[in-house]
Amino acid sequence: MKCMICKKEMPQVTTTFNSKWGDYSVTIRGIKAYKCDECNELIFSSEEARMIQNITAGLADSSAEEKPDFLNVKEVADLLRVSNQTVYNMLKDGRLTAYKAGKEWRFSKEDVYSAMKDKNTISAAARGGYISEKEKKYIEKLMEEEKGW
Amino acid sequence: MTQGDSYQASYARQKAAKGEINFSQHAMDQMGDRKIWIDEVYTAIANGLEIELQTFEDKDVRVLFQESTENIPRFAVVVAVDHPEVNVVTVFRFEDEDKYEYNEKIMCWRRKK
Repeated sequence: MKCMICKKEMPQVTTTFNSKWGDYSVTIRGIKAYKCDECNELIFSSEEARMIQNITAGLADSSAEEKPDFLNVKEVADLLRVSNQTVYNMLKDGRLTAYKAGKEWRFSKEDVYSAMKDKNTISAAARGGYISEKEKKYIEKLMEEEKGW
Repeated sequence: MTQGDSYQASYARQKAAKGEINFSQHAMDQMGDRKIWIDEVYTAIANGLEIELQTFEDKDVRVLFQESTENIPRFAVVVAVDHPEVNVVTVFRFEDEDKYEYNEKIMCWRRKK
């Protein structure tokens, strides 16, 4: 497969694609595509394109009740692009709230989003909730600077 | 093959019949925004009228197919033919473009008034 723009050979890669259906968008991981290293152009085979469209349109057309409102630890970690351990740390120090369903934690999507929107959320503590004095001072300095704006 | 087809258009139709059409990221975005199904795009390539053939120096040839319908076509598909690959470059709605008019079953460039 050659790039339509620069004519360079496009190797097949596994990538993440942000797909849309009307106003609805969804990020799908593990999509196979041909990617040009030079101009970042992506080309999808028919099968892959059809699968992307079916997933996106299917989710977009499902009712609000059918859309997943609750996430597990792995999904929250994926959403925030952090490790599972960081999610547990955030849960431990109160930056995230969750509900126990059997042995597993369930997070409300709204809670996760609102926690991220909260300006006082400090996501630097990825080590068991521990922030060193030096880091604490640096964070306080950043927050002071933010107030000054 | 439809009468009056260019070589590139008939090649694209053959590839569509085999299900061997690829889609660019831009085409995926455009289809998603406009809620145009891949099957509709395939039908347009396989059965829709060829409305334009664009040739550029040192670039692939692009063929425009209109939607295959008895009514006024709503969209067109732009296909890049670069043997052996046939890629859908983009999809657009005629209502978003001011330069086409419907004239005896085919969308053509609007004449200047």
